[in-house]
Amino acid sequence: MVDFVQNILDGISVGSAYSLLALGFTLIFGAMGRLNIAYGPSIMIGVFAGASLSQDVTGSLILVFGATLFGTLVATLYVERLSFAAVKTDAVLASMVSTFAIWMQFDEIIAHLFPLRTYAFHGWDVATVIEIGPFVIRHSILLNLVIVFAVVVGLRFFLYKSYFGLALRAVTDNRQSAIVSGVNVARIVLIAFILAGTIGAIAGFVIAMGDGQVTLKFGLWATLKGLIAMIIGGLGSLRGAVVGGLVLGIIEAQAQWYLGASLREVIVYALLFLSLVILPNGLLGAKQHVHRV
Amino acid sequence: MLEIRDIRTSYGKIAALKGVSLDIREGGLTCLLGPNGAGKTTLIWTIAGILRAQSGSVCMDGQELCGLKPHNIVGNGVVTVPENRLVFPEMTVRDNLIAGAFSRRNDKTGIQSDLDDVFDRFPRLRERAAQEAGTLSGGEQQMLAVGRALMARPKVLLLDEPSTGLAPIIVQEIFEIIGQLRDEGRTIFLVEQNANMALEYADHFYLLEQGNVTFGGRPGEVDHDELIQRAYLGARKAS
Amino acid sequence: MDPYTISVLSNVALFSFLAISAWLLMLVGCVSFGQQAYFAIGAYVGGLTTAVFQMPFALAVIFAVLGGALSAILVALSTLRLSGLHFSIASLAFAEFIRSGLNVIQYQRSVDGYLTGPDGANGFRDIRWIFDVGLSQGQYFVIILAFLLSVIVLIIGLSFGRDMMIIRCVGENARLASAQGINPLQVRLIMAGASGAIAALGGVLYAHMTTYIEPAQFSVMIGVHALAYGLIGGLGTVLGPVLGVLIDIGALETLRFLSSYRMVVFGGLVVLILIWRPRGLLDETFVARVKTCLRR
Repeated sequence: MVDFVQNILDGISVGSAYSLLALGFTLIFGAMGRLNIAYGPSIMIGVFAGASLSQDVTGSLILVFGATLFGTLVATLYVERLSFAAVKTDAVLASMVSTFAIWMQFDEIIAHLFPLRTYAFHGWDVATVIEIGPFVIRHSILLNLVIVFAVVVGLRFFLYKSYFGLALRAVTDNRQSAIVSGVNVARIVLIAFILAGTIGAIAGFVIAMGDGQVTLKFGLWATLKGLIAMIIGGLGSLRGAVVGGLVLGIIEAQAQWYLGASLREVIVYALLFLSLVILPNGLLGAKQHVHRV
Repeated sequence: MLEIRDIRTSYGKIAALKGVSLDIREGGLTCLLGPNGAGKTTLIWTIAGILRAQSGSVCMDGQELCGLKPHNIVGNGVVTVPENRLVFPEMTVRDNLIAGAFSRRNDKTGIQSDLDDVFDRFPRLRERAAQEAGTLSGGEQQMLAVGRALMARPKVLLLDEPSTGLAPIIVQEIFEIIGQLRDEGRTIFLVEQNANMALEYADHFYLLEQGNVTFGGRPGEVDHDELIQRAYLGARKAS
Repeated sequence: MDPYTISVLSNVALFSFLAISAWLLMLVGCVSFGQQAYFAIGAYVGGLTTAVFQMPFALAVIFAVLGGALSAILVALSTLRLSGLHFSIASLAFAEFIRSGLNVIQYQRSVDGYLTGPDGANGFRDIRWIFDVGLSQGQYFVIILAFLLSVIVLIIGLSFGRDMMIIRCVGENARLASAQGINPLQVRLIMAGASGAIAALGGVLYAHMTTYIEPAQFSVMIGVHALAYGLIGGLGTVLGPVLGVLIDIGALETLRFLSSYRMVVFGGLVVLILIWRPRGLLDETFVARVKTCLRR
């Protein structure tokens, strides 16, 4: 029982990072209706930028985060310009495969610039741990949760209290209507990407800090986790992205504890497949509108 | 107010508009009639900037609008109410309306007063202000689409077949509202299949057949029956 | 022909099976990230048949194809009613499920004194049929080519009747197709089975060429590659995905002088092609034009 609860706590810690990844995916998918497979790899560029600062300049946390953010945003804008803005509006598949090609590019660039298997990343400076009875709550759990909460609150504020947020919701809801209403769709999409990139950078930063290192597998890994979390929670729903991430984290923690790492993968994918077949709209059942013209 | 000269728009190799010229006079309702496939919606999309014309010009008070991006055209005061309404189904009625004012987003007080005006004009929308637009009836969505266009403070209002898919009694309501707008001195360009209704309200009209304007004049100057026949069926081949 | 060229061409042929498999599904409007699952199933089933159970190669091919088709149909039955992205993720989930499952499955028997069979993440070695029957690399390549050409000819044959048109109709607009009396679900099921079968065919041929297979070879990467081949080469014809494979593997070999940044160059090329030709090089418009020219 103690293990079960402890796993939930650990799961939430990792899961909150998954939530952030899922949020980023949801923003882009909502605004463009297309999948950005290069999302994880874009973040990877960022975390490696942060890692390089961690090696040479025993930099402050702020500098490392700044590098991570900068790297991620540069990569994100590169993807947006080439795979989304430049590709014809109805060519959804072409966009997606284009992001795949860019993923290959990013992978190779990183592999060449960083040939070692792993690189140290600035870890958490504080190593406190709170013990409540038999449960160990690492500070990272709390920090991650606070960060996710802050991001979600910030995002909600942007979406519901600002005009660009309204425009983004409009573009996500019905692109044609948005064009007709005088929304500058190109600019809104750019904003969506920058937002997604920023959130992704935060996610990457948090994950890398938690691991204390970064490896080349980060790109694909982050993409998969973000996608799965987004689907579990319910496609297109921001709340779903958060819930999906947390649920994924918890399931992984439980499966790993009771069944070991290899079986953990099997379970996660089996569950993902089953959840899609049984609950295609995810846990939060994002509605499909009948009136969509 | 809006001078459209020799617009040619094609879909790939298929020419939809083969040199359309017409005038949308200020402060009145100009109507475009024509059978299906004549190119009426194509013309609206071209003026709105969503379709690119191969050649021709759309001039408003001396300013060339042809070639501008759609959001810039809205910014210049040419606002479209598209066919089939096109609302934002998952957003509230209120948000739908506010979204319409995107090009004026810095004018917070103006937007608020315009919102009140729209709600005054369409009390049913005020009732449903917090409801999701997708759950509204067809007629209510049409009102919402018109209201949203009004939020942009249009100089010219382009209406594309507002009667589509609506019950006759609702169509009557919608056209009364259009008539009101016309009486208030607004400049309206109405594209309609429902020639009967349209001619009742039009100050001036044109007939579009197969990408060309074949007729222009005032209602009352022409034989309505013949006109309506041509509007629905197209020109007769043999005389 | 030197062994190097034969090896490269064999790879092209084998990946063509996978590419064609993904392409077939794209025609009916289903984007599958998971055709590598059936490639894997074909490889393992085929390997088991010859290496572990010492049965003839022909049976290996038959079992592999049946296994691929059957599993594809079962997956399709549960996922076909899912909308676009959901279907794609479901296909990914299944493929990863198979891959991670293969990582933990062990089944080994003693054959001629050696322990033979899949050993989880350690892989499945000694699929030695071509050595046992004394086939050369070149001869096996002919076998691969024969199978590939049969598949291609069969598919091209479809475009002479109404079948290809029905298939593309379902892909363009399923609702419209059903209004014409076509049953989109049925068409998609058949295509799913066919794709699974073709991928599995590629898999069993692959296993017997490399003689060693392991779960890591059947990753998401090759799955997305399979999709990319079709989209780059062109969705208009079955030769499109094959062209895509040729371009990729051909580029891999000829750009060796750029070996450090091969992927950056190639990736950039793909990005540019997709901006210019979103449905690939041999897209539907191009194919239609060619057909008109040929008719004259």
